[in-house]
Amino acid sequence: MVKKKRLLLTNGLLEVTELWDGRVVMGEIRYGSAKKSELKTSIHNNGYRYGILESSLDMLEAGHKGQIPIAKAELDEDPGRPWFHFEDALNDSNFNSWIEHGNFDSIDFTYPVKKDERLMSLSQRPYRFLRFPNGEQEFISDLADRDISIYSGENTYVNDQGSAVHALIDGHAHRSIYGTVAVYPLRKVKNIGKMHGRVEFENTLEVEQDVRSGSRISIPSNLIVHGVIRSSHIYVAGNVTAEFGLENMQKLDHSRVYAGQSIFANSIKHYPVWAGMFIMVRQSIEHSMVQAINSIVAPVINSSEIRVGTKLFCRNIDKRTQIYLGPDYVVDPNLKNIKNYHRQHEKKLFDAFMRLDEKQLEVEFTKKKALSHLAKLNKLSKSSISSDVLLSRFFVNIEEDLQKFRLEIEKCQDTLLVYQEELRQLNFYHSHTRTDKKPEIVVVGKLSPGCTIYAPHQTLRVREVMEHVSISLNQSSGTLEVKPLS
Amino acid sequence: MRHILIIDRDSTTLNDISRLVTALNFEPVVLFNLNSQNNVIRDEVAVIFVDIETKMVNPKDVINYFNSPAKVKNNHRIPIVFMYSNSDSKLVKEGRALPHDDELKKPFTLEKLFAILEKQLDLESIEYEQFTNEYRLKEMKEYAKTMEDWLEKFGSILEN
Repeated sequence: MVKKKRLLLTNGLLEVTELWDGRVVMGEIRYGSAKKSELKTSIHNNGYRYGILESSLDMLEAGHKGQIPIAKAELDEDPGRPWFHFEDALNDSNFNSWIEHGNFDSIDFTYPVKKDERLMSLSQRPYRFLRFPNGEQEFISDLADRDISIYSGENTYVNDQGSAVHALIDGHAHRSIYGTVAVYPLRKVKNIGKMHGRVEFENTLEVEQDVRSGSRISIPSNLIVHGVIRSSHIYVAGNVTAEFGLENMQKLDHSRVYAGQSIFANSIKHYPVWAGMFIMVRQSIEHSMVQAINSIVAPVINSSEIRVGTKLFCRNIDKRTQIYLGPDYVVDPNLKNIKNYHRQHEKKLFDAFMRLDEKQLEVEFTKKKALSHLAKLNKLSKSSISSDVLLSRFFVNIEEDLQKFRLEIEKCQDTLLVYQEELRQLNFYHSHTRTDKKPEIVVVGKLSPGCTIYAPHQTLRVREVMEHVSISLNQSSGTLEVKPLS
Repeated sequence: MRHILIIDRDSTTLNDISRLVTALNFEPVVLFNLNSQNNVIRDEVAVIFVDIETKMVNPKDVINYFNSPAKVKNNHRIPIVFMYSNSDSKLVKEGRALPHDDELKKPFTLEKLFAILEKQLDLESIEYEQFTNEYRLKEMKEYAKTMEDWLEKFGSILEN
């Protein structure tokens, strides 16, 4: 059934036609003209958000006459719902009880695990679906046999049933924001300082005292510091625990903390901090730039810039603190690189299939020639056929072509595996950053005048004290809703 | 079967058909004459659009080449759609006498073109799996296996 819509533009009319139950959407400028940006906004506002064909919009902007497909349904994969067993304590009910009781005693982001302990399994199987331009999904197939080894990182293994990832050694577990689980053995040191140079152990690192000013630590696992982390450059793929806090009182430029997963600290002072999951602070965040993809919990926030994807829980927010609320404001610094690699592999895969097509045609072409030559020899005796030189050449040629074809298949298979792994990582990242939860700031004490809250389409400047409020983001309109806490 | 074969020289027609079949996840393949048919594998072709007014190709040759009894296996004929712009021309009258599955008069809207594709490709029963990379690679592997078997038989002729 054909469904038509007429969309009024500033200087023209765009007629949109849905074909094949909405799998293909065609557009035609009936009169007037429009810029690509206006066309895009118009079709977006009318519900067509996926599978947009950018080149078609370029053509409409350039004055293309007649209908042209502007969006189409695309195949996509849901990576399933991985469940990380070592993170069980982080479930919603525990999280809420920490918030309600203000008690951080049971929080442990170090995740010690034993050999053979189950780390991860899929609670919902992956599946393939068709995403219509209007966002509707049609189930295509179950991908239950999809290999989960792509979730398995260092020192882990997939069990014989292929259903779960287990620890290969005793150590500390973490997962990256792209879903890979890894375990590293523990290494204890007394303290770390500038004199140690660049610390790059393949371990979970436990520091008994402080990480002193000017240190540089880059480890693929968790960092546990029983003292203070002072003015250092910390890059950790897993979690950071700093029992006495993060302090950059010297305000050194190179000082920053990047944690692929979560950060638990007593306080954060003058420090730029980024976390892929949670940031839990026992006392206060002061004069810092703090970003977390999921949630931040801190009793007091002063003179800081906060960027949070989902939730910010706090008692008091003071002294011109700026808060950016919503998933658009917190992006993994590595995401751009991963997306670039993914695009390169996508192109490589396309080229690999093109080469396969070419090789297949070459094989077919030689086969056709061989068959037509064989037909010509049909009336000759068997011995004459078998001794025909040209026929032998055809045989050798096809054999060589087929060998090349096989090689191309192997190359294509390798590229496809890399492409699929990247796709799974990106899907995981997006499913964890674009959750159904409504981004929200919960202030159980007071929000002082001078603070500012930014949303994609609204800026809220606080001019009077607000007490006991919830400020949530309406994701469709990009505006803020302020309500008293119940 | 993911190729839609277009035998025509008119760029507007080629562009219109190509854009729509690409949006339907099929791949357009353009031929200007039957000499370049080596770029086409018959089993991959889902529908053929041929302009019967241009003298670049004889529609009878197209039918013989793709749907001759020797090539039609398991009753699988490739649907052929004749395209024309002047229904009174002699070429069109002669062409219409030949067996074909549908007609498309130029100029046409993409909706009309879609109606023909929907009927000839039986879009309602189409399996989207065939457009995935894994499926395509699996097909290639199967093709390589078939060719290896064929080559073995071919080799046995030479040995005898």
